[in-house]
Amino acid sequence: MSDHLTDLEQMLLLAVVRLKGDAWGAAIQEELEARAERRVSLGSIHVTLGRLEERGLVVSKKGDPTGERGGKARRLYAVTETGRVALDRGRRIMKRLWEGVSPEPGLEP
Amino acid sequence: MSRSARFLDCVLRRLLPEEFADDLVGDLREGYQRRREPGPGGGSGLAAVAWWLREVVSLPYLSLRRQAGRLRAAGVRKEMTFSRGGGVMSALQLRIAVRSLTRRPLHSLVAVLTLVLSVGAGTVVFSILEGVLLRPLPYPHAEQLYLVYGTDASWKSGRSDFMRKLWDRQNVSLAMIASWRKSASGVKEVGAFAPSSVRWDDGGEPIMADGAWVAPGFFTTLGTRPVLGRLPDRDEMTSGAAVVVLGGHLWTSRYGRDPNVVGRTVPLEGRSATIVGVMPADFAVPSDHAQWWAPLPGAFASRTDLAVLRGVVRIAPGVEPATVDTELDAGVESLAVSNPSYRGKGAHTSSLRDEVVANVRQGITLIFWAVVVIVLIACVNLMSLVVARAARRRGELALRSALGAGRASLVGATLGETLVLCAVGGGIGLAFARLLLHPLVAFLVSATPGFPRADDIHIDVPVLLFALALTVGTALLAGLVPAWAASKRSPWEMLQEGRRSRGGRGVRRTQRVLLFLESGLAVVLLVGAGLLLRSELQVSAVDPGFDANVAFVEIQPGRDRYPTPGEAHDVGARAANRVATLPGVQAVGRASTLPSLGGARLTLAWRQGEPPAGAARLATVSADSGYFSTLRIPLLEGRTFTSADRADGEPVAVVSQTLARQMFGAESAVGRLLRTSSNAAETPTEADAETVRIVGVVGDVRELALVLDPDALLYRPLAQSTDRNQLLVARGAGSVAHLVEDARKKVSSEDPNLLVSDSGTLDRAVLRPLAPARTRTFFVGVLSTLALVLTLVGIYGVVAYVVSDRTQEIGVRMALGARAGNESSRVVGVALGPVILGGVVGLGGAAALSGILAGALFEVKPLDPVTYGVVLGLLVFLAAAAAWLPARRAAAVDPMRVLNEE
Repeated sequence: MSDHLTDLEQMLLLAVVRLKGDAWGAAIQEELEARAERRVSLGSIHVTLGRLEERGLVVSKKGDPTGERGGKARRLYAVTETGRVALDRGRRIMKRLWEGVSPEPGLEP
Repeated sequence: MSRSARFLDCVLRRLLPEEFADDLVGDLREGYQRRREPGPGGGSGLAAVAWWLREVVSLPYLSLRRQAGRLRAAGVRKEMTFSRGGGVMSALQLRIAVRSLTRRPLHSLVAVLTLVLSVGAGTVVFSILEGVLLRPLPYPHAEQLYLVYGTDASWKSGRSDFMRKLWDRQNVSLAMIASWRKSASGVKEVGAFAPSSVRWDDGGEPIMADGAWVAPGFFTTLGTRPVLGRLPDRDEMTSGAAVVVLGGHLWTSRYGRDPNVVGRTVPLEGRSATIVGVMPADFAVPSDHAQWWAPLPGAFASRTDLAVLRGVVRIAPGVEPATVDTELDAGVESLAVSNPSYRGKGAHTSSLRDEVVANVRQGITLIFWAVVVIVLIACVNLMSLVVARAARRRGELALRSALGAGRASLVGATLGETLVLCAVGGGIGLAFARLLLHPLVAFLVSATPGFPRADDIHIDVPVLLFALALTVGTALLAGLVPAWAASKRSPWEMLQEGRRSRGGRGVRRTQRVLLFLESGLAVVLLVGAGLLLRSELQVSAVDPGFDANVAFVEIQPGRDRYPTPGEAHDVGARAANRVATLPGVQAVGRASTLPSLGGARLTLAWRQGEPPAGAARLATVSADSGYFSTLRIPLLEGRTFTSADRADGEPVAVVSQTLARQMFGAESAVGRLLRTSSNAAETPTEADAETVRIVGVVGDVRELALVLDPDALLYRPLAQSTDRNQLLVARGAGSVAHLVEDARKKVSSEDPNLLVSDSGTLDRAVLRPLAPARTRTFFVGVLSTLALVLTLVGIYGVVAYVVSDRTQEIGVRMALGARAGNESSRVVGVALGPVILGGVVGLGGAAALSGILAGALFEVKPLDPVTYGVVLGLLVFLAAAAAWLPARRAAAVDPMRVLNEE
C-alpha cells in the first residue's frame, strides 16, 4: 500500500498531533469541527484511525478509566514517526503544487 | 447512568464491529454528556440528543466503509456484486441500498415517515398496554388478591336500571368480615377499607387527600412492608387509634422524603393522628391516588352492621375464586340467622388486578388493536413502495441475473433498501415514542381521573424488544415478499419486460391488491371510530334531568351525639343554613343521596286498595324542601316538599314522571295514595306498610354515567325518613370548586366532630364514569384519522407510479385524439376500483367485528347504516381526491415529446 494520505487522513493526523496526547474520538471530532469546519462522524473517525493504525501511522493505548463513561477508558491516539514523515511528505507535495500559483482568484500561474 | 441508557449502550455494542465497539460506545456516551453540560461548547439536552441520533444513524456506514475498504484491498468488488449464490445480504448491497435511497429522497422520506408513524404509535401504545395491563401488581403474590363486594338480591329485581347494575357492587360490613375470618377456609387473610377523602391540614397549604380508613387485616392481606417506620399494630387497628400511614407520593410531595416525618402529628378528621410509617409509592389500594391509611375510627368500629366497607382477601393457593364466593355467601347467611337485615345478601370476589384496570382495560385493548391496524396499513404502504422500486430496477436486476447472479443475491438487492429504511424509520420512531410517551401519559391521566398505574408506564426492555420486533417484522413483511416476487422470473423474461416498461402488468396487479387491502383495513378502523363518536354524541346529547353544577358535602351524624334521626336531620339543617350564608350561594338543599352517587334505599310500593303482592321495588331518596330547586329538577305537577312536611305530619311523597306513568298511566298522580313498606327484602304485607299521599310529580333524572334508563324514583321528605346520612348540595354564582372547600368549613364550624365522608362537585362525579370512554373515543378517532391519511398516501403513490409508468401509452392515446381529461379520469379509475372494492369488503369486516363494540355503544346500533355509509362515502371521496392530484400529470403529457422519445 502506498503511503499516500487522503484528505480526511491528513486532517485526522493533524488533529491528533494538535491534541497532544489527549486525542480521543469525540475530542478529535470537536477539533475538526472547530478548525477544519468539517463534520465527521465518530464512526468514520474510528474506522479511519483504525486503518491508519494498521498502516503504522498512529498508535493507540487505553487511557485512565473515567466516571463520565461509566468507568471505561478512552482510547487515546498518538502519531508515530512514520506518521509524521507521511504528514510532512503530504505537506511538501502540496507546497510544491502551490509553487507559482497565486493565492488570488483565478489561480493563473 | 439510567437503565435505558445502559440498555441502549448494550444494544449498540452488540451491533458494532468488535474492535471499535467499546471505544465508540464510550465516545458516544461521553460526547453526549459533554454536550448536555452547560458551559463552553455545551448546550441543551435537545442538541445533545440530536448529536447522538446523527452519530448513531451514521453508524451503518461504519461497517460499510470497513467492508468496502477490505474488498477494495482484495480487488473483489466486481465479483462480489454479481457473484452467484453468496449471502442474501452483503455489506456492498447495503451500501448500494443507502446510495439508491438517498438518490430518491421523496420516496425514502415517505417510507421513513410511514415507519416512524407505525413504530412510534406501536411502541407508545405497547408501553401503556405493558405497564398497565400486563405487568403484575406490585404486591407479594398479587395473583392471590381479590376485592370483595356485597350482593343484594333485592336490588337484582329492582325496577330501575341502575339498581340492577349495582346489585353485586354493594359494600360489606365489619360483621361480614369477622364471619369470613372465622369460617371461610379458602381465605388466607381478610381485611377491609373505606375509601375517603380528607382535608390534609398540617400547617402548610391544606389539600384534599384521598386515602382510606382501614379495618384490621388490611395491611397483612396485601403484604406490603412500609419503606419507613412501621404499620399500625393489632391493638391500634382494633381500637381505632389515631395513627396514620403515609403514601409514598404524599411523603415526597409534602415532606420532601424527610425520614423524620415518623412521629409527627397531623389533624385527621378532627383528631390529631401520629404518622407511624410510610408505604412505597406503588402501594395503591384503593386507588393510585391513595395517600394515607388510618385505622377505622371507633365510631365505625362499634357499628359492625354498617355496610360501608369494601373487603380485600388473599385466597389460599390453589383455591378457586368460585369456591371462595360460596364460602363468603355462607358467611353472610350465617349472620342472617340472628340479624334479618342480612337476608338475601351475599358477597363475591373480583380479582384486584381486574378491578384496578377495570375502567381502562377495554379502552387500552381497543386502542392497541387500532394500532395493529395502523401497523398493517403501514406495512402494506411500504410494500407498495418497495414493489414500485423493484419494478424500476427490473432492468438492472435482469442484467445481473443474466450475468449469473443467484436468486438470493437478487432478493438481497431489493431487501437491502427495506432494511436500511426500517433501521432508520424504526430508530426515529422509537425516539419519537420516547419523546411523546410522557406528555401523552400526563394527558391520559388528566383526561381520565383515576387512570391506574400511570407510574408503571416506561419504555423498558420488553417495550424495546417489541419495537425491535415490530421494525424487523415490518421490514421482512414489506421487503421480503416483493423482493422474492421480483426475483422469480427467468432472466430472458425480465430483460424483455425491463426494456419494454419499467413496471408491467404484474406490478400493477400487486399494487391494486395492496390498495384493496389497505382500504379494507382503514374502513374497519374508521367504522369503529365512527360508531364510538356517534355514541359519544348521543351521550352528550342526553339531558340528565338535573343541573350538576353544584357542590356537595356528605355528612354522617353519629348515633353517639345525635341518637335519633330527627336530631341527625336537625344538625344537617343547621349546617345547611350555615352554608346558605356563604356569599354567592343561591340555593341549598339536602338529600339522602344524589343522582349518580348511588346508595338509594329500596321501598316496596303499591297503589292503595290493591293487593301488596303486585308491589314495585323502588329506589327511594329522602330530600328536603330545597333539594329540587338546588338541582333544578323541574316540578311538573302539584308541589315539592315544604318545611311543613314534618315527622308528625301526613306522610307525603313526590314521584318522578316515569313512576307516575308506570303507576297511574295517563291519570294525574297528585293526591293519590300509595302503600309503602321499607322492608324491601321481605314479601310485602299490609301490616308493616304506611300510607303516603303523592303531592307532586317532578322530572326524571338519569343515574350513573347518564347512560342508564331514567329512574322510577320515589322522593320522601327527609324529616319523615330514618336516613341519617345527608348530602348537602349548594349552588352558587362563582366557582363550584371553591364552594366545596367553603361549604366543608361551614359544616365543620357547626360541629367539628361531624364526620364528613365525601365532598366534591356533582358534575365531576357525574362525568367521572364517562371519562374513560371519552378518552378512548378520542384516541381511536386520532388513530383512524392516521389510518386514513396513510391510505391516502398509499393511493397517491400508486397513482403517481401508474402515471409515470404509462406516460408513453398516454402520449400515444392523446396523439390519436384522446382528451386529456379522459386520460386523467381513466388513471383515477385504476386506483378507485380496488379502493371501492376494499371499502365494501372492509364494511363487511367491520360489521362482523362490530359486536366487540356493542357494550361500548350508547343508543347506536353496531350496524348503524349512517356510520357505514358516511365512512364509505368519505373514503371514496378522499381517495378520488388523492388520486386526482398525480392524475393531473397524465393530462399534462405532451404527445409530441413522448413520440419523439419513442
